[in-house]
Amino acid sequence: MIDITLEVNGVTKTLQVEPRRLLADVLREEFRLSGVHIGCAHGACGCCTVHLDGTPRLSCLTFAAQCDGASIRTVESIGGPNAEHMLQQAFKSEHGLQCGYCTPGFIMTLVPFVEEMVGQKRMPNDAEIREAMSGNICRCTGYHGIVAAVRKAVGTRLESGV
Amino acid sequence: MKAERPRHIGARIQRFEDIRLLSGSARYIDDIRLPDMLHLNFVRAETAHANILEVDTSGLADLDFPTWVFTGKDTAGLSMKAHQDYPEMQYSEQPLLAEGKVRFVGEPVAVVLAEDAYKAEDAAELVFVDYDPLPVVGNMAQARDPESTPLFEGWNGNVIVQRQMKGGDLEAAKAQAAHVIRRTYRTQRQAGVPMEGRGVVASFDKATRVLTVWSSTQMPHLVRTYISEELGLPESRIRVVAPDVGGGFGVKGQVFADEILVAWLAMQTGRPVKWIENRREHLIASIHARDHEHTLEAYVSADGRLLGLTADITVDNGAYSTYPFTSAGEPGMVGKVLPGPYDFQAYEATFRAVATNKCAIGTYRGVARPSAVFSQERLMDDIAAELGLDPVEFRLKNIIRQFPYRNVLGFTYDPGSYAEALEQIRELVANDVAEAKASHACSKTRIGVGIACFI
Repeated sequence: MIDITLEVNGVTKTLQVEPRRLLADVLREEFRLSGVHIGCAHGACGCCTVHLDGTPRLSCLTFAAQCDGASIRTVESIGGPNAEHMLQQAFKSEHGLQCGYCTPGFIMTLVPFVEEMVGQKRMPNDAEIREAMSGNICRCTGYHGIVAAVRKAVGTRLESGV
Repeated sequence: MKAERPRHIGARIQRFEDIRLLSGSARYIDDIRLPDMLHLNFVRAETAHANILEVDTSGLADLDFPTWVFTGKDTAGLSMKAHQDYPEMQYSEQPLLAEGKVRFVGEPVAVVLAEDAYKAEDAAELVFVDYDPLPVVGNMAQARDPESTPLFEGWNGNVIVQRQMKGGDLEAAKAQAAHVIRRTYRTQRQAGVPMEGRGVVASFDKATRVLTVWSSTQMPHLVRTYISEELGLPESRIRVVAPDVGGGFGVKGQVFADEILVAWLAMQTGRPVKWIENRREHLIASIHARDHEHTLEAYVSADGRLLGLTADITVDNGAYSTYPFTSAGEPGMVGKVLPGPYDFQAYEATFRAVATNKCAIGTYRGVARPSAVFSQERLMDDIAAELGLDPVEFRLKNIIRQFPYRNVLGFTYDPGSYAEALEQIRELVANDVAEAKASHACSKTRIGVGIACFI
């Protein structure tokens, strides 16, 4: 067993974990974060994407023991219980989700992308958006709604100038 | 004063479930946690067809944590019974855990339960199964060979069921035909792969004798009915809950042996039991779809009118019949769908399901229709090519225009704008067709354009 300390969404815990224990399982079980979804456990689908020290990472391919001292964010931290983040609201209005299982992974992948585009003060083209989310699989929407949601979130931010 | 009613027509309707799905607070099957819950791991067949000589569970005794193990001997007599009452259909059952024989790679042979999912997986690796291999029925041709090893005792060959449907005067159509076009089309086996796999949690309250089952299912009511019938508990004592379901696409639209098994295990152990399918299990052992071969023969007049069609349809059903639609469902659906949107009045379809040593075929997106429509529309293109006609022209010549239409099998079609829609499509893709034609001169990149109709 290995002692690790993780700061997740502002909560810090020190835990004993087996070296093989997946970060996804620790976030789901020890931190009770049901927004972390396991779709394939092979790093192929992107459902389990979280932010590890600010960068999107696949929590099913990451051992918790690798993350000692890390700061981790999950979808629960993005817009709170009412999903108030602009990108979450855009997913809702543009039909960027249906069954919702892949959705937290898409949100965690695309929030930094939206920030990057706003930082560059430009609207990405559809090919760029699709490239940005190419590590995430959705079986319900056919992706069009997700692309529209990203455009809406970036557009709204650019218009509001914040 | 009349209350103002919400206006929906033309409005953008917001869904009620989106906030919980977007915020991470939805509850899918793996989010169900109960006190004292045991985690289930399957020991699955690693060979397609074999007699089970021994299931050795003695290694579990060396573990420093408690485990519970069950094999087909414990569940003997419990099975999925998915049968249509056709006199020509060969009867089979799917045991909840393999009894004496495995019939496909991935078939559950034993289950190991432990208080932690990682431990259950470790323990399952200590169960050894000794197999004596049997000849494998690996494809449709082998399955149709009367000499192939029957998958079930008492069976005559491996054709599960073969039936016919027909309408109109096929002999007259053949006699009038200037062209006879015969083709064989094949669609390959697929898995459904929702982003969330399947999973079942069950809990039995001994005091009230109430069984609660959570399943990532599209048909909780039928799950309850089947559990009631198989485990002998009245439906009034069974509650089946479908929590948020992470995609189904029809895969989760049958009752699975494991749903009955997990419920039974909760009753046997007196503790809640949880099973979460992993992706490999989903790919090899949930249900498969669309493993079809269709041989079609079309009778066409000199002026390009479709006069009649014969179809010989084979579905590679895999080893077991699924509940409730059974192995007769998929091939019968092809026969029904094939006439499609075309006007002809002579038809004969022979359709069969054959048993092979593969995962069972079940319902998945369209249920046989994608394969049927693929064959129907490939045939329309192939006839057009043979007659030297434009494929859209050929379809327009044969598409149904008089409504309501009574098709060759007696089904009534409600009015539709079939011809108008097809003409509109032709205009919409005109540029693409021109681009594709131009590309045929290019030696490097060639573009294809296809049009397909279905109802």
